[in-house]
Amino acid sequence: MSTSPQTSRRGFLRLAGLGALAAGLPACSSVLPAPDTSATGFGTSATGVVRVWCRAATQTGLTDLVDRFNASQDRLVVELTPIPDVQYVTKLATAIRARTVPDLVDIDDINSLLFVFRDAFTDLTDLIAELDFADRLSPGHLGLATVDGRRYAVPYLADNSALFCNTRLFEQAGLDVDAATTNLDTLLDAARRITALGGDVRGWTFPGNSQGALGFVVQPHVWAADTDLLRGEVGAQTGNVAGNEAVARVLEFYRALWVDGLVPPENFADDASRWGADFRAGRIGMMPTNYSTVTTDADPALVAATTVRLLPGPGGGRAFFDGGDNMCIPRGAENASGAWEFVRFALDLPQQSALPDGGYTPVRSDVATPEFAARYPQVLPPLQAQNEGYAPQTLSYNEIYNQPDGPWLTMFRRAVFDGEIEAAMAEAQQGYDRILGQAQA
Amino acid sequence: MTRSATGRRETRTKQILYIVGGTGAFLVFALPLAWALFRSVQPGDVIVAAPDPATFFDLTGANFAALVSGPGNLIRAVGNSLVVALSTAALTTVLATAAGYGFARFRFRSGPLLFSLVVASMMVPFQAILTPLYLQMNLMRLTDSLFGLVLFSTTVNLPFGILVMRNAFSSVPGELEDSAHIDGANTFRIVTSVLRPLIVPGAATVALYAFLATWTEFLGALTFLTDRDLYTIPVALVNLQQGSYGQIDYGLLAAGSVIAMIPCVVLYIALQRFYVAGLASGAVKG
Repeated sequence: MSTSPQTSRRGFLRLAGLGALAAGLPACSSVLPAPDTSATGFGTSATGVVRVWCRAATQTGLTDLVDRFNASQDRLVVELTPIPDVQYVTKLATAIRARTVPDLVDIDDINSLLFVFRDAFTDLTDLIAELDFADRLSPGHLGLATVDGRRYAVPYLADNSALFCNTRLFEQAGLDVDAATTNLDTLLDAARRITALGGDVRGWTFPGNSQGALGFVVQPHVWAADTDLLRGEVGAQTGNVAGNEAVARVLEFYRALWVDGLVPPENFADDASRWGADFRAGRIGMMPTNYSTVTTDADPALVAATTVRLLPGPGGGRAFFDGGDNMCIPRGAENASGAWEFVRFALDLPQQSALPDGGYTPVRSDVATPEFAARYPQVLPPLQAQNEGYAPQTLSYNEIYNQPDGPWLTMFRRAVFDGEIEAAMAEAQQGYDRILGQAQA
Repeated sequence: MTRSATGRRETRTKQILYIVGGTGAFLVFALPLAWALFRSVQPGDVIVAAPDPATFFDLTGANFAALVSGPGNLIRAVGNSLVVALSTAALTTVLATAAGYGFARFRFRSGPLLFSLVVASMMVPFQAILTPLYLQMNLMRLTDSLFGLVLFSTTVNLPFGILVMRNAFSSVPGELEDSAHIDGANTFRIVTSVLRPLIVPGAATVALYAFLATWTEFLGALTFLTDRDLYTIPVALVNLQQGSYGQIDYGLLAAGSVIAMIPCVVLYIALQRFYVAGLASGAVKG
């Protein structure tokens, strides 16, 4: 998930990036040659340098991984380049256009499909099938890079949204976490009772002006009802907003939180630049977010008192945003064999088990041994329910959800802060249809 | 009341006004800097919390330590930025001086047209031509190289530099050169010995402008470099301080800004006496 607080400059740069992508990739009609992944010794005996790009948000983890890999053998040297998240798509598109690609890209999984659809990545289907844990890999990640049954990426790390609950406040309010988090009505009731504790304690919190973070934590309530805000196959999609009962219920839920003062008033302007500070200060009962936001620089005692549930739908059901990183070998990579060797190392159990130290979740469900569960209990729920994970497969995720002027944020704010839920959904329907129509034209 | 008493009182009032106004102006400019310095030694969560007397003065060097020891080594980025910005400033100044002299002193038919073309190129934001620029640089093997970045930054800064230097030369009386000519000096000698003191303010302006613009340049550096060891300060800072959902580590950001500020402040103080003179030179004559 690449998202950010938006300034007009960023918005401009992103537009410029998409323009470069649109102008750059189709012009590259002769796609770069795919490396031969079936050659004997592929992925086992490579030598030389492997150039890896990662996004800046996950560079700490990748840096450790690269150091470990370089120390583990002496045939290959991995060189890591972190790229700022908001510039990643632009920079990769430019590199492909200039035909000077890295050997491996560690990319926000939501962006993988953009490049897969333009034949920029190598088909990894057979290589993945040979992994003895292939059926344990996160299906949400794989789905974001699968076209016609062929897989063009392998998951590396997961960054999932879930509901983080402060058990101290639940106890003070006399609430049971499981009973309180079964559907939107019980959540609202719990938020009321926690807020009633008084002081500056609030039941819930959300970054009301951060389109990306809201896409990450609000959408799963809708998905839990087995529906989405998009419908149709990639390439022929339309919006599924107007008249969508689940969307209306979720917006009503957030409207109630806001109107009844169950969230801090600064939520109105919060662009996620201070995301989680209020929860880490122990003032918030429930917060939909990810593991790293809750645990980074947090008081260990508070982390120990935090428990995690998947996000419930309006009338039950569970879901979470299956975000994170996919690893892809661009067509034209010079050392694809070395890149695959590095990928296999990254997916090994020791490396995967260490991911929570950097704030992320493993992508292999067989990592969840009893020792792991005892050490990282807050990572466990999404990992054990991998099939509940979801992320929309679409070519327009960035335009709809990550742009500050996109229809998603406009709808959310109009519905939640102005109370015009039905009108906001009708307006969003038009925005979704227009953007999808343009991307698919 | 004697005349001199009134005069003294006027001087007194003026002095008080001067002190009050000066102090006010000083506070307006110095407070944000002092505030940034103070924030850079506070932990991130204290910065974003409502001020609480209990934690507000929990000062820490952790932000600076993290910048120096973290995955994107900021010290190296400072070094890269210094190399690029100083080289760009030097190259821009030399080229702009030569071109400025040519446009100001040599009369040739296409001169005005060429000069308007140079100035007009200031109107094209380089962001608009980023992709072709990248392809071209890549073809010439100038990507992933600080030298390539210097050439790029020089190109971007030259038009303004040429404009300033042309005006600087235009404001010098032609008779000065004529007499130097008569004494037997060639053009190079004239510029380096006779005109130098007169154009130093302009040259300082060009150098300072090019340095500051290059020091803070982000998009070009990001696009033309794909080796983290070559990253300049703006790219390294963005990489360090931002999380995937736009969370900002304000502690790191403040500390990084303080480090990034130092060369600019030093250079500005060193060159400030030329700077204002340079900007105004030729303003009425150019």
